Amino acid sequence: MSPTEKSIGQAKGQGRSLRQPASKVRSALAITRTPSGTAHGDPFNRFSKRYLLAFQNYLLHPEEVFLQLAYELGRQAVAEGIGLLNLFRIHITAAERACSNDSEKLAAAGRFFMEALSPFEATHRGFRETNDKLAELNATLAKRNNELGAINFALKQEIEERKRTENALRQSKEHYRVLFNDARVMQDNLRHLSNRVLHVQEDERKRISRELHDEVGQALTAVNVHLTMARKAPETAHRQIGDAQKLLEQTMDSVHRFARELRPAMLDDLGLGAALRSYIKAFSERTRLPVRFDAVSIIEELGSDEKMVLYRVVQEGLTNVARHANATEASVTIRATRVAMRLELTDDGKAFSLEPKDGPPVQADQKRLGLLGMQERVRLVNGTLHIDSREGKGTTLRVDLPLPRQSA
Amino acid sequence: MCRSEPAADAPKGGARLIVRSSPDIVHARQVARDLAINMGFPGSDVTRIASAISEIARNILDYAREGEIEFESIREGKALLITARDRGPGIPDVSLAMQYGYSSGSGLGVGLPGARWLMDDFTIESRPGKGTVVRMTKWLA
Repeated sequence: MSPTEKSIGQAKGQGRSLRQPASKVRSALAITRTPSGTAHGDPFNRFSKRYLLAFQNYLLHPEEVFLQLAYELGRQAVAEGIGLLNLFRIHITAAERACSNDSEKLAAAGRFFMEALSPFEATHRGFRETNDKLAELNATLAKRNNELGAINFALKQEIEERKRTENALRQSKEHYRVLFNDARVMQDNLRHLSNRVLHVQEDERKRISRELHDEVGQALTAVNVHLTMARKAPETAHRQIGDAQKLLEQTMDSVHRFARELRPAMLDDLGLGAALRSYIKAFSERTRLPVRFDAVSIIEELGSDEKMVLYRVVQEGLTNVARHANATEASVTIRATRVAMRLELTDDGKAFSLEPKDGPPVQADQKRLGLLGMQERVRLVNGTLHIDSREGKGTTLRVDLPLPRQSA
Repeated sequence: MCRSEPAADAPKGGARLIVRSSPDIVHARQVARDLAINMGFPGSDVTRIASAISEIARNILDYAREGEIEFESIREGKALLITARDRGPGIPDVSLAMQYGYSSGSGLGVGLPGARWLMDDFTIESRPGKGTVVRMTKWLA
């Protein structure tokens, strides 16, 4: 308790303590400040005096004018920040002293005090109202905040959406670029293949014409010689004619072989199996490479395009084996799986590789284009081509064609 | 203590007073107090009514110099209606004036809002140049 309150509290026992020598009260009050910030100095002192005076006057003359004065004093207390408790203390001190056991006087004191209090009640309600308004404002701010947050969120999502769209665009551009490149590569391959096909055709024709000229031409010349000799030396005619006939037989074989290479008529007449068997036999004899052959009979139910493709694959495959693989043996098998007609051409030679270092560049190129040609033919009849080649384990060329309808 | 004469055409069940000076405020309070006690208002409400009169009357004196206050018992004696009129300069911004703590003069800042908080119903009409009318009501609990 501050010294001031103490001195006021003691007033009831010491009579009019507030009439103490001003200096004594002043010095005691000078060093004190209540937490409410009100200085218990002269203003408070003056107020207390005024209150007391008005109060005593009211007790003497209970008239409205003093009640009005009480109200004004209350107002002043509010404005100066004199707290409610201080006001009460001032009042109760005065009342106890002036009213003692006089109930009438006590009632009058109460009326006076009530007037002084109404400004406090007014401000109290004011605080409440201000509080309510603040709470409302807060709520509005919070709502606005939320709305802003939602808008922010929506904006962020939109930005992300745009970024995603941009990314997608960029990716698809990239995708198209890749596709375009692939298309160009395919085009190049196609052109090379066409070129190559033409060249090969030409080379093939050249070769055949040369071989015809060389083998057949020579053979026929030799036959002529034998026949001329037969005429000139009749005693040797029998032998000469026999030699001539042998030569002619060999020549006929060659011619047949050429014809078969140009167009294996056997395919159409005698079937794929017979054609393959015949080609493989000639190949083995020519290259001294043993080739085993095994095929199921339902290959004859394939279409003529499919048969042609298998024939050419075997032709090209075995040619490659003879040229590049250094193999000691090979095998050609055709069988039916659950879903395909499968041709497998295996050899035990060195592994198949498309690296340029695999022999001179020309050879590697030929091999690559040959493969491309095979792939293209197989694709055209809805088939697939795989090569399985491992160092030390040889090579397997596998072609799968759709099964013929009838045997499904 | 001088008292002003009651207005000649006072409404029934009530009174009308001119307010021109400080003693008029005291008189208005007295009339209000008597009427309220007669109507059966408890002591605390009587005090509130008198305080509200103080505020309104002071406003009239401070800004309009002269006005009138009318008292009326309404709703079959269940409520006391007090109407204060003046032809003063008017209040430019009523909502501002009704904010707690606002004071255009050297007042203590309780003023009009103080009267509003002490009474139950409160309306104020005011236009610059056209004066002010305050109507406030206290209801018997």
